[in-house]
Order: sequence, then C-alpha cells, then structure tokens
Amino acid sequence: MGACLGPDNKTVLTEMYAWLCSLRFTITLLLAIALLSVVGTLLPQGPLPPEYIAHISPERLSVYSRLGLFDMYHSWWFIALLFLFSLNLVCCSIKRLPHVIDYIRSPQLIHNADSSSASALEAGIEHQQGLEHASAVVFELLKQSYPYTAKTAQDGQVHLFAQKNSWGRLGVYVVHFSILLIFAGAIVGALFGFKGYMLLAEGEQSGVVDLDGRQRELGFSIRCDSFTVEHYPNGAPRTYRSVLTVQENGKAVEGYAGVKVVVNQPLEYRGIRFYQATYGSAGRFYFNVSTPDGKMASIEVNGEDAARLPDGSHVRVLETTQDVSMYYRQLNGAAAVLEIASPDGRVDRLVSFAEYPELNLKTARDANRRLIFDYKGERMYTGLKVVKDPGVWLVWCGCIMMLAGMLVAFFMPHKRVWVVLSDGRADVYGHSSKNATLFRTEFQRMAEAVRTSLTTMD
Amino acid sequence: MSYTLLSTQILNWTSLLYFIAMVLFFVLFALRRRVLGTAAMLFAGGGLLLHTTAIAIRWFESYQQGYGHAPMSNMYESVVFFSWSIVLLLILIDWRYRQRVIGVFVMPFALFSLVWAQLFTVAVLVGGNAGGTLLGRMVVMDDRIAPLMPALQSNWLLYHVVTCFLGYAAFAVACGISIMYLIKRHVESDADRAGGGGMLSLLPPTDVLDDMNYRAIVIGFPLLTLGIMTGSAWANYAWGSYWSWDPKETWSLIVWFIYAAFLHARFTHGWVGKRAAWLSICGFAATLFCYLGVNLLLSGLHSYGGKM
Repeated sequence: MGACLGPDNKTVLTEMYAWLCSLRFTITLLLAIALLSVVGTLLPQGPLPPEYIAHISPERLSVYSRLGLFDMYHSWWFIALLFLFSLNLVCCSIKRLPHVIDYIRSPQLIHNADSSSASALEAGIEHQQGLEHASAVVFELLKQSYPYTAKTAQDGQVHLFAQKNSWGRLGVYVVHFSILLIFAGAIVGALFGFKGYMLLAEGEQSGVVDLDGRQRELGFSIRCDSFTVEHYPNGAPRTYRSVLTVQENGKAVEGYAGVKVVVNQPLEYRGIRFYQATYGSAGRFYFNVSTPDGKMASIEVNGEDAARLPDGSHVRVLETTQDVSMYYRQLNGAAAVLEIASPDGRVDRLVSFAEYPELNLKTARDANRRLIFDYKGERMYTGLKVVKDPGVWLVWCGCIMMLAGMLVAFFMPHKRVWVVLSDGRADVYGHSSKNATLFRTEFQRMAEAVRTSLTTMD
Repeated sequence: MSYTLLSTQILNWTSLLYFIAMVLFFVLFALRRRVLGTAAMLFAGGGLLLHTTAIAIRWFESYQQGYGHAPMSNMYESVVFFSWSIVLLLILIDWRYRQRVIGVFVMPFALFSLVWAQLFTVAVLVGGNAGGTLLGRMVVMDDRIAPLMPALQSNWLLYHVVTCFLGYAAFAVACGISIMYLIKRHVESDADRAGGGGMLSLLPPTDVLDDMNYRAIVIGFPLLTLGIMTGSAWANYAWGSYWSWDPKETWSLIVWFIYAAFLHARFTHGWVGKRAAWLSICGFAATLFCYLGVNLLLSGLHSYGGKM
C-alpha cells in the first residue's frame, strides 16, 4: 500500500501526520474521551450486581460484555484513545516547540507591521526632544517596568524594545509534558505494583496478599494485635482502628510494633501500604460462665456451632451487637443472645451483657438456671487493603508540574512593548500573548507615561 | 426538629439580602439606572458578609455539638458554600470589569442554590415530609450537623471541597455570562430591524462578554484541576488508589476535558463567540451533573445524596 504520491508530493503518511499534530484532532479527542467516559458511569463497572443481571436481557448483556462496556476504562479501545491522546500531545509539541524556543531566544527587537496585528495597540506621540535625549529618557522608563530591554539604531530611527515573561510561553508545554508524566506514573503503577486484600482475625498473622484469586508473598508478615470499632452516641461509626505489628522472620520490627492504623492513616513498610478497608466478626464469641458457688470458666463459642458445657448442656449464639442501647435504651456496651439447651430437654433464650454482671445474675435466677453467662466480646477480623504503587510519585510530580505550568500559562503572558523614536515623533506599540483586555490598560498607562516623559520639560 | 441553628437563621437573612440584590439587578436592567447597580452590589456584598459569618458560626456550632469539623461534609453544607463562592466571584469580577449587569445572570444561581438548601427548614415549619421518594431526596436536604464518618476525618476534606466548589462557582459565572452573550448576539442580529436600544442594549458588548466568559473559565479550570488533584491525593490516603474511575471522579474528569476543549478551541477558527458560549454552558451542565447528578442518581464511593 505505502505511499500514494499526490500532486503536491504529499503522501498519505504526511497527511496523517499533519492530522496527528493538529489542534482539531486534540479537540475531537478531548470531546470523544469525555463522551465515552459517560457510558462507564451509567453502566456498572467490574463485577455485576445480581439485580442488574436480572433486569437486563441476555442478548444485551452479551453485546455489552463483548464490547468491553463493563470494564470500559481498561478496555483496549479506551486505552487506545488515551494512547492517541498522548501521541497527539507529543506530535503537537514536537511540531511547535522548536519554533517557540527560537522565538523566545531571538526576541523581535524591531517592530514591524504584523507584530501587534493581533491586538492593534498603538499610540503616537509628538515631542520636541532631540532623538538622543528622547531615546535615553524612554529607555530609562522602560527599564523600570520591564526586566528585558534593548535599544537598536536603524535607518536614522531608534527602536526600543521591552518584554516580560518571554519564557512564560513554555508554560503550556510544561502542562502537556506533565500529562505524559501522569500517564507514565499510572503505567508504572499498573505494571510494577499491585493491589490486594489481607484479612486478619485478631491475633492472627499473615505474609500473603490476596490479589483477585492469586496469592503473593510479601517477604514479611503482618500481625493484627487488635481491632476496635468506636461509635458516636447516635450509633454512627466513629473510628475503625487496627493495631498492627510488622514481623520479619517471626520477630517484631523495631518502630513497627503496635502501629495504629485507621482510615486515612495507612501503615507503610518497604514500599507497601496497608489501609484500613473493612472488618467483620470472626465468628468466635467469648463468655465467662460462673456458678453460684463462685467457680468460673471461660468458654468459646464458634460461629453457629454449639459449645458443650461440662454439665452436658449446649450453648449457641444467636445474635450479638456491639451497642445494646439500640435495643435497651438505658444500657450500653455489647451483648449476645444465647440459646441454652440443657440435657433435660429445656431450651432457653437469654441475653448476656458485657457490662452488667448483675443483670446476667438476675437473668439466670429468673430462668431458674445455675449457670451465669457474662459476655466477653467477640473476635473481630480486620480487612486491610494492601497496595504497592511505585508509580505514584511520578503522578504527584506530574500534578505539581501541571499546576505550575498552568499558573505560568494563564497568568504570566508574554508582554512586549516597542517604541520607535525619530526626531519629533515616538510611536508606541504593544502586544500580549494572552489577556488582551487586561494588557490594554497596562499599555495605555505605559503610553501615557512615555507621553508625559517626552512632553514635560525637565 | 424544633430548634433551628443560629447559622441557619442567619442564612435565611442572607437569602433575603440576595433576593433584594437580584431584584435590584433586574430593575437596573429594565430601567438602566446606574445607581441601582451600586445598590445591588451593596446588598450582595452585605449578604456575602452575613453568609461568611453563618458559615463560620456553623463551624463553631459543630464544636459545640461535640464533633468539630469544617462545615463542608454533607449536601446542605456544600450547597451553602457553593452559593457563597458564586457571590464572592461575582464581586471579584465586578471589581475587575465593572459590568454590573452580569449580576442579573449570575445572582440567580447563588440565590437559587441557597434557597434550595434552606428548603429543609421550610419543610419542617410547614409540617412537610420529604418521604422516601427520589424527588423528595432531591428537593429536601438534611441541615443537621452530623459527626464525620471515618473516611471524612481528614484535612484533605477542607482542601478538596473548597477548591472544587470555587471551580464550580467560576463555571457557574461563566455559564451566566455565556447566556448573556447568546442573548446579545440574538438581539444584535435583530437590532438593525428594531432600531436598537431597549433593555438589552445595557448588555455589555459581545467581545467583552466573550472575554469575561474566557476569564471566568481561566479562573475555574486551575481550581478544578486542584480540586481533582486534592481528591486523588485524599483517595490515595484513604483507599490506596488515587484513581478508580468512580462515577464522581470520572465525571469530574469529563468536566475537565470539556473545559480543556474550550480553552484549546479558542485557537481554532470558528470556535470563538457563539460556539464557545455553548461549550461553556455545556460545561456547566456537566458540572451540575458531576456535583448533584452523580450523588443523587448514580451510586459509588462518593454518594451522600439525601442520606446524611
């Protein structure tokens, strides 16, 4: 296929490259990415909830699935779009950057008709000063307001030039480069990092992360010393706190023992971060069982199984709560509902409180039972999100660079002023790469200052 | 709820001042008397002072109730802050451009948001009940100060919410100005027939409006960028992922792309003027969906619509 030479010797490739470097392509891409992204917010992404599957026809489900719409941000066509976007960025910069750098390095010291055509700012001043004197006076004036000034003599006239923020024209390219940096950070993170989960019951330790079915060895282990949930008086959760210890070769690492991990405060060790993500009941409940004559034993009831007591009765836990005030307004703390089956066939349901031993005693008496049950809490497990992302620093660098580039691009335009002096006349011209209206005021002030300096007698 | 917070009462007075300001702007527009513009800005400025006081008091009130936090944690507080940002930007743009009549097209956004936020208290006084309906959830907001859930307990909350809402407010102002632009363009094309004059001649010239639209977006775009970045940084601390294509995150990026297209379109022929105005309006529509639509209509990590 290759090159089809047209009448201007343009090949198909040249045309394509021109399109690739064009601003129209940029705008098309930006709007296309924006529009397609909308689809991913309307359709569920990732594992589909059963309600959704129930409501959609199987044909539509399969079509959407094959189009990659249920994980569209990782689909090949979306990533291809982002790739094209990066390509457009790079090509646009390659095309325009050398010209801009040249433009900056060789300032246009002599004004010509097209320099200020975009903003047509000019002022003509008649004066009675000699050329030498007038040039000196205006040059001093320009030096006070602009960091870069130049004086050139040509054809019997003196050309003065002043400018500010010429390097500011590069701000845009910094912003564009920062986007590429952010993409690079995301790619590095995707290729060399991982995200997974680790579930640890209190007292348990593990050195393995669950990555979507696969497992990964960390090279060290994490132990969950404890997990607590605190609530506000109105019942809403206040804190989820895991206390973790990092262990290498079975021994706690100094400085990483008993570390508190809450939401917004992860634990970081060897480039891997552990975030407080979720929690639950490990399904193990603890009770102190005492007899009226003072003997006491601790028992553990597992999940829904019945625990067997020495006297032959069986105990099961039906329900537990962390905060009993939802059921008994005046009371606090944890409680459990037990089902006790005695060998004689009697079955009772009792409530056992963690904080009110006297109530537990009363419960036992009212039910005509010997044993008193004091609830001691349940074993919780904590769900940690485990993340390694070596690319995240590239992303933050890109972000800071983008903000700096934007500040320069939007708020530090390249401003230039030319004054063309001859015997008896001075013409002032101005141009700003951005913010023409605001520059107009500045220009008018400068022109007024020039006029005043040339028309008042010293 | 029989007790209304002091901050809420102050906001009721603020709404009144904004309403008077808006009426004065409309009358300015109709009668073309400059002194009305000054009066309108005075009421807007006074309202803004009250508004600022109310927000500060609400911050203080949260400490009194035992859960001190910046007043930016639920829908009600965010709408109140959004309204505040719009008036602030209106005053700043007036200071720079002195085109008072834009108040006609910008003040309604601020007033409408604040009144909508206050509707909960109105509903209670009237004995109303929002019910569990979607419309109910959309219309009425819970204005009680509530404790922060664990995910919101972070300094990032303040930085993220402030930058995002200042950005949204700038886009609201740009939208108002774009509407003025389209009206003026339409009027200009009829002006030769009608002989010019009339109310609409008080509208600034189209090139000034086009410039103000651009300037508002130039303020809003870096703010939105900062808002997205602070959101990502926070997400990285809270959930270990700076970007998860969550509907809220995705929509904020969509808004960002639309305004990026706007800024680039300025350099392409045919994309200044009318098309730029429409793009600015579309951008704000997307902003509104990002702010409210996602919370109320879609689900995800960000939704707090109506529930708090």
